Amino acid sequence: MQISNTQTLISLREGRSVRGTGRFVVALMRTSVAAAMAHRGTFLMQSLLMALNNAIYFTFWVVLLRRVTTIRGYGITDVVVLYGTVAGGVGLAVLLAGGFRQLARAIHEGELDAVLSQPKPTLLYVLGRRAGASGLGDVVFGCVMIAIWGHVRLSTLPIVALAMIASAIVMVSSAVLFSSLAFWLGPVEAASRQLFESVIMFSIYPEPLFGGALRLVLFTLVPAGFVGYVPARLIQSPSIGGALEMIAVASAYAVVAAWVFAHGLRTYCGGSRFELVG
Amino acid sequence: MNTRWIRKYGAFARIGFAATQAGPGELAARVAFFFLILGVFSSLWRAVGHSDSATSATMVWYLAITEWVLLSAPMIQFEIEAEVRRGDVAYQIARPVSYVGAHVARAIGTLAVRAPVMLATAIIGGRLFAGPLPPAATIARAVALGAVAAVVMTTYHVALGLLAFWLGDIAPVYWIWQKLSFVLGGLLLPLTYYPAFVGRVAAFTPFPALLTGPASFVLDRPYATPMAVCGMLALWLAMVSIGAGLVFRHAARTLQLNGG
Repeated sequence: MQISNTQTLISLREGRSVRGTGRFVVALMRTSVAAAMAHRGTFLMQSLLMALNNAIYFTFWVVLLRRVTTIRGYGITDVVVLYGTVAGGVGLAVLLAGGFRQLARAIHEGELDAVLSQPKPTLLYVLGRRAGASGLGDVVFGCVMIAIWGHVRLSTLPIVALAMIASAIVMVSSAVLFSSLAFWLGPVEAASRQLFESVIMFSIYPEPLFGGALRLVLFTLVPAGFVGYVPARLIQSPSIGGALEMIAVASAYAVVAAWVFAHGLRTYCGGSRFELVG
Repeated sequence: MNTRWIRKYGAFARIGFAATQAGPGELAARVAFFFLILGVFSSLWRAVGHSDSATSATMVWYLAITEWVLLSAPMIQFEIEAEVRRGDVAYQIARPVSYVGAHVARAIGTLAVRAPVMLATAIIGGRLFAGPLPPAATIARAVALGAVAAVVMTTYHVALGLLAFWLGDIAPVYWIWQKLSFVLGGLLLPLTYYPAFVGRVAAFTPFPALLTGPASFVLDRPYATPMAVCGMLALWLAMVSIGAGLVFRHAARTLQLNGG
């Protein structure tokens, strides 16, 4: 009986089509965003406060760059685009794949039990089932910053969207990679959160500040370069080559993250949890 | 009576102390993050070069002190929020201890583990990224007042946590508190860097006493004299203690009404 159930699961998983998974992802995101918006007042307040939060932090750059004009070639307009790109990316990640924030804990505490028996990919389920309301505030703030920059034309809008989506994919992929360490190392929630925050932190500071070995790290293990600098450069100088490069990088990070998660899942020991999934 | 009081709350402090020691992972992550921040900002200040009143080295030392205070103060507010959400608060307030006092004591226990480790990180990081230490008397002043500031900040965190009785989710309020402390407290840049009106507004808030007050001793022009910073900290501690007490009393009454 047990074997036949497992076989059914395997055949269901093998039988899923790319289109079916795509439909599932869209439905999951829609449901989870709708759930976050169920308390409309709280949702709007959190979005507004997040946008305000970003604006307050940005005053640091305004004050600093009023005094020194540029930092190794980075002026206020460059920082506006960089900050807008990263805020947009963070917002999309939190809004559409907010589950990454609890992934390390979910792995360590056996919370994956409830989604393992679902017929769709476990990782997509875990990422997409918790939308963060504050993400909308980040997205709006990011778009406002790019608008303030003032060089976006209608024809380059798709490039801006692509840059933000790619930034979000690299961000979520790095969070999945850090959180997947929990499969082998156990309680790594704090460490994975700090690693993720360091990706965000490095990505909002001007690229020329970092050189040598650190620069290599920022384009590999802590991919701040692909979360901030490269997408921001794409927005400032749109090109087909740059767009293709960004798509390739985001896809590569997503594939590696999914592969590592899948391998970790083989070592996963459940927590015997009973939970309603819907 | 006093001995009993000390024993009672001392026990909570010991729980906080032991719990923090039992989870070195979070402390290690904070240390790594602290190094990272100092590394990033030392690069930034080197790129910016010398400014009107401070060298890049003194700016790194300034940041080391402000971040030491900020990263040492436990995030007890989120524990209170979780207790309110789970309903654990219902049996905790029935204990023969003050709910607020117990949380402050437990957080101070955590602070007792965290602050020395973070201070060592600040000094090692500062030495590594900025160079020689400021004069011993300057460091002593900044550390003494910074330690008091961390205790006052912890009490503010407890007060923020109490808002969960009404708001449920206190994260958005905390974000605003955190970012206001960045600007009005002068976390990254001393208040003198901001337009004058920011300084005037900040003077009516606890933030300068908590961050720039202790840290600015490493600069040429401190925010205030040590006695003045001490006085400000005492004033804001009294304010938050009274405020937290009143807020909790009101919250407990509401909770009893809800409970029937």
